[in-house]
Amino acid sequence: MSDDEPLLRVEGLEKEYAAADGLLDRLFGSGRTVTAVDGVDLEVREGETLGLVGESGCGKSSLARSLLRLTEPTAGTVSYRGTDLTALSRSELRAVRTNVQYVPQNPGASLNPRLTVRDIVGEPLEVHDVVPPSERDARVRDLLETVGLAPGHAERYPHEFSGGQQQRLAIARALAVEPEFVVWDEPVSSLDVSVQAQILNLLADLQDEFGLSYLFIAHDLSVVAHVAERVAVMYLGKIVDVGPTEAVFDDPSHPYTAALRSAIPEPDPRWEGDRIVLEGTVPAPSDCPSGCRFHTRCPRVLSPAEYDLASDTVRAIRRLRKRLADAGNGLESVLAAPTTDENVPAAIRDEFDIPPELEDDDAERVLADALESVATGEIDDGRARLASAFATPCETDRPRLEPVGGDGDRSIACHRFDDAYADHLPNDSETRTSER
Amino acid sequence: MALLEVEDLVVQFYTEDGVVRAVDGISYEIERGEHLALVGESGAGKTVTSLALLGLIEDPGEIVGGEIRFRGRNILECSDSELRSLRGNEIAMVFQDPETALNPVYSVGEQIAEAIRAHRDVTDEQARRRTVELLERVGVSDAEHRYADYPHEFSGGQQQRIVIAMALSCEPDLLICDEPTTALDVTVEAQILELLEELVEEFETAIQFVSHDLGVVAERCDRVLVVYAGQVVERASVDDLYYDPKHPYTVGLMASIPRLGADRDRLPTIPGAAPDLIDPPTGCRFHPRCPYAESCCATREPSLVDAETGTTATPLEAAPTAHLAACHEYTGALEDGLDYDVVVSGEDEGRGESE
Repeated sequence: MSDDEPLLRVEGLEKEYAAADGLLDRLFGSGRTVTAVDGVDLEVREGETLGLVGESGCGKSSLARSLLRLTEPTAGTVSYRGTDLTALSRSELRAVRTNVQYVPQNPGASLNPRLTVRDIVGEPLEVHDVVPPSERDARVRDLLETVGLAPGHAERYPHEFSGGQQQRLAIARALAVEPEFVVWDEPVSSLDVSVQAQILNLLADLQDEFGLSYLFIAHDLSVVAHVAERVAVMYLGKIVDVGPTEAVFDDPSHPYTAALRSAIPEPDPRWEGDRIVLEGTVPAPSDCPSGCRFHTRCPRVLSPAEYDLASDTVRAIRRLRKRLADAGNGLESVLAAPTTDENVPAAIRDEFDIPPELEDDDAERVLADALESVATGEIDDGRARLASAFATPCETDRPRLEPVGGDGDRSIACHRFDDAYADHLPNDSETRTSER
Repeated sequence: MALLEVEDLVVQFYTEDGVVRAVDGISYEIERGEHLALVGESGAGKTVTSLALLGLIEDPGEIVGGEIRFRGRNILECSDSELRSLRGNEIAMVFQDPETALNPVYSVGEQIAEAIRAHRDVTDEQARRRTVELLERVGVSDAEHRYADYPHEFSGGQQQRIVIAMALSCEPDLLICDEPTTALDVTVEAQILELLEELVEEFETAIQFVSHDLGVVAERCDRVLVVYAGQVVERASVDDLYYDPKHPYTVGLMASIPRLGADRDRLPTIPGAAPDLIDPPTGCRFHPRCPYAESCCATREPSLVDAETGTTATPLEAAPTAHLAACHEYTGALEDGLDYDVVVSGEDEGRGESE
């Protein structure tokens, strides 16, 4: 932990959007809301780059936009050099914007097609009265040179530039007010690798030259690992893992971070590693899972404390429970292919990859009873038996972002790292000792 | 005879500013069941080459030269109706953006069934049943009910699964995948690539894989063509290309990828930008950006040669495994030669070792 106060401290930030499904909802308001950012705590230190990663729809952009009050956050505080941005009036906020800049995702869409480069880059100079009108043109030319464009480009329009050059324009516009802190929202996601490398180098040069601090949002982990000193991993509106880049991408980590990391295609034809392929996609924020939000896709859920089971088995049983919970009262909703009555338990085990006999005798008894009920048509009974017997804390208890390890620099929101759940670690967990 | 042979393909677009030669004499072949990648920056001609295979080059574009032989038959001489029976049936395509590839006003099931009905002699009911099977096969759960859903009711990853189901509906011999996962998250990308691999193995489909992502290519392809400014500059097996790249452009492209675990402050870059194809550079088209360029590079155009022997080699005549590159280095014309080190993986242990 650095001694001094961080440049930016976000505490309990929340952003809710109104959910509107149909015309009536839109006219009268449904009263339902969707929480895109749900109680995020974050720090950006002076001169550092904090990377923010996560899948689309996890709330990265909402977080960035609400912490700069480009959309109004619903709750929480954002203190920038000790000033609470959420408490500022509009005119006070405008003054802060010369220090804090946001560069939106798609440069092609954020540059006004009807303005010349001179007007685009000169506009912030005028709005914030950074330099006197007589010096503005010279300043625009300087800025263009700084980002690697020719000063003569000032008279051109955005469409005359390639994607990489448009990104440079957006960078020049953000730099015009001489900010201290810049939020980059996916600055290289639409660029070729060769151009991406040029832009990443430019961002690093600018950071060195002007002493800037960055919040760098990207879905590409290898890019984030390259630019960031610290990384925060976001899932469904919450930060699940945060710490120094190397530590986050090294073991042990949050199962979601591990999955993200392993999904990156390796540019090496001889690479032979195990890939963790996550099931499904990020659930909609309107249908947020209970407990740990990642438990529906997590390859490493905790097992029920009373049984000693492998994580694959726990997952297989959970799939069966979920199917039963969603299913109607017919057997066909559980089993795809019809089978004769006495084979039903075996067929179900087969369908859900549950071993023919569980390694834990107590668990086996409960499961066998439940499957028997399902086979005889008492689906309700089977559903209830399984639901009560195989509950894992991941479904019910919400993990908190707690410091892991000695120096307090790394925090992970996962029950695996909480001593209170030690009994629940699956019996094949190789991390029993190393995680704590 | 290879499944597909493209010989000296030239495609031009007529624009207000002049004639853009997007593809300028590209030749390659794809064997049955092979996975061939086309790699290069935007505007290099990868997508145009793929569209040409399906006869989808439209005004103001035109195929002005060359041959595309699919199972020995020149596609460029096919009539419209012959092309229609080929397209989607023997050669199918998975596009980059599934949202625009699907028709928003037809249900997804209907769109797949339509492709089946167009190419197979089936009843509506048979086409429907086959569609449901396909949807299940690509991992759309509850396919029976989702048959009637519209594209916008699916997520991006699910939409791409549907596009793949449609492309494979008639069990094509050649599948063209144009940046199939660029619009998707890495986690979904991994799912889709795994699915594609399973399916093409099942159907023994050859793939022409267009991508700028060298990570994806390394894992999924057998051979790679590196395309620059409408021309092939290097052709090699994946292993050769990544461990022993011969063309300076390929070397630059590889070096500019950020890699997990590699502790580099700056990424090596290729200076400048891809050239204007209305008026491409003289000599070697890469010479203005090449760190090893000498005077001969600006005046003489290098042809593809076997990088081992230095003899001129046309891609269709050379052995499929031969490592070809278009650089004066391999004909001995460069005085100072090329000088680069190749580092394939980062320092990170457990994520692959370099030699």
